[in-house]
Amino acid sequence: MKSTPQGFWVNVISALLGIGICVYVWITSGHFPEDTFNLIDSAYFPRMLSGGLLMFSWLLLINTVVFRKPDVMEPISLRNPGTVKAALICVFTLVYILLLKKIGFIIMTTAYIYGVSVFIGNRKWLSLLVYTLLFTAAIYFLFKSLLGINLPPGLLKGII
Amino acid sequence: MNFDLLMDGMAVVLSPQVFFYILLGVAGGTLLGALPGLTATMGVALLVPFTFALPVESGIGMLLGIFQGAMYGGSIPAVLIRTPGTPAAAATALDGYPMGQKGEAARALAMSLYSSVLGSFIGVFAMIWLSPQISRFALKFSTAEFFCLAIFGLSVVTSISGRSLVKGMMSAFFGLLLCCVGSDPISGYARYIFGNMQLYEGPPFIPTLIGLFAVSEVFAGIERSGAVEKVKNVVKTALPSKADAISSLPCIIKSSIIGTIIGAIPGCGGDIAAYVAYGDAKRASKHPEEFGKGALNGIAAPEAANNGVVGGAMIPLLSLGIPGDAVTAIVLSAFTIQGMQPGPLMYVDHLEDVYYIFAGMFVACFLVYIVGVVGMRFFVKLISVKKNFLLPCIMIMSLVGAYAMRNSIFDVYCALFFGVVGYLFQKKDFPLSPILLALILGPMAESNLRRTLIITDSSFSFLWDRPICLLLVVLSLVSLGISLYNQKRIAKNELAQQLRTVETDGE
Repeated sequence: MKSTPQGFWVNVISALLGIGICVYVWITSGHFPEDTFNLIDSAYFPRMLSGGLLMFSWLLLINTVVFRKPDVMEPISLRNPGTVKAALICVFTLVYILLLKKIGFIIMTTAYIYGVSVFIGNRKWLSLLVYTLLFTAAIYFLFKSLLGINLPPGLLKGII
Repeated sequence: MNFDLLMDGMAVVLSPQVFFYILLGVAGGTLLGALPGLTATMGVALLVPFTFALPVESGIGMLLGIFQGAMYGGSIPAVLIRTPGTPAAAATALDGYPMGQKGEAARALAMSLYSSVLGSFIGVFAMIWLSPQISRFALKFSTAEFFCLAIFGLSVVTSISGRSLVKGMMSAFFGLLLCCVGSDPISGYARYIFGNMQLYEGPPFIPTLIGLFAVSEVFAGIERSGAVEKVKNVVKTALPSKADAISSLPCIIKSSIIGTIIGAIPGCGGDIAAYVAYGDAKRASKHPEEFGKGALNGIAAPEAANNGVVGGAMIPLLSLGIPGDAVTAIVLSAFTIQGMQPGPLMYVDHLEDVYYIFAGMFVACFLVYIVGVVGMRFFVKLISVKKNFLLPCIMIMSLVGAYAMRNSIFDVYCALFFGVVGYLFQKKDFPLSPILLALILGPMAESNLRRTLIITDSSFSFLWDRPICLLLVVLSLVSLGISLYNQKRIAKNELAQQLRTVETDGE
């Protein structure tokens, strides 16, 4: 891996995000109810921690901006096909979760595994379908029979 | 040690149901450990939800099996394709892969199994003898000591911070702040829940760790999914020859002891132990020039050490309730979900459970050998499984695991959210293990600190007034020092390994 100019900006943005979180935690904790009997109330620990995060966020910022020590890291770029694939899989997964209860585990899981496998390069469609169905059924019955956990049946309610 | 209780524990462990689940755990752990790129942490995180619905004995047994199996499994791809299944197996690849290249993969794998199992046994023996002594001492602890103990546990962060200490510390503080989400442990006031009552108990722990360690790995795997390396060697046996077994025994015993001691130090995981043992074996060898070119002790030493770590890491976990690394942190959380709270009080209130764990670890060691011998050919084949089928399956197992905890779709969203967070963190060099450690130790630190400060009228003088607190603070500083030293040492070894790889590729 090579050091990239992106490393500089990633560190700067990360440090600023860290500082932002600290500010948010500090301000929000000001609205927590005060304890009349103890000085140590609900805001004590979050404020203490936000102080720690603030210190290291500043250190990262100073290291990067003043001492010019950007870290060696992999770039995230939408020009990279791998990154686009990962982002799309994230969207597919979100859709899977959204529809899981309504459509059901078996249909959604079969569609998800088959679709994602094909999307990331599996071209043996028939064997893939067989493996997908076997895997889905195995997981469903493993959870249902062995562990007593009912996965959402969805449209297949009453059939399985 | 109470021999009668150990026998009682053994009787439970050897009952058909519990024995079956330990076997299942060992097989599952070995399988996931053997898959290149899937760390032992991910393997354990992925399999933990399967233990929730089981009876306590079976669930804990399976968990111990997963832990032991995952540590061993990493050596298989290290020998065959120079890709360690777990970071702890990285040192094994130094001599394992050259042996495979010489057509001696079967011999190398047999040695890795033999030394792993012996290393595990020695680690477990040490755990059985030492953890009761430490817990007896820890019974004197009050809230102040428990706070210092949490700080001692958090001092590990430096050793699991990866390349940047500043980023490691930022990850740790991020994790500690995540612990503040949910109800305040003293007053019950809901903090940072954004009106969502599902967050009242804080971010759901298991879905969070599944997201951080399993879902994020799937995204990373999809991003770099490419050709699968084919295994050229044919493996017919997993048993070492008599000559190999005898000649490597002194090295294995020594390395196991090294591994156990290093494992017992919080933050010093299997990777450090493996490199230290490897270096020691090389120094002690009559033919150090053979190391790196396929020396048998170059496999025996790191494998015995990284498996000795399992027993060693269980010493602080069981006796003090503090995890030594990310894997033991997950094991600790799973123990808690099963209703067990590791720590000194466990030796008073649930002594039979402690001996049950001891017995379970023994049987798991034995089963690693059986699973290794019987399943070796299958594990070798498994390395060639196409990632484009495996990755979506792992994603589904992760999501189902997150759902199974409370039958809640919200938990599945959490797993996905933390998966994205984990992916971005890893890409940008922010280590994930400090977050996990903080999630475990954060609540312990906060509740005990606040209780102590209420008692001491907001004075921090307990840190130097109370001898055990002072000792723990000093130990934290020593641990920080050792971790920083080891971090440099590992970086040096990694650099040397990279140089060696470049040289080999050049040839």
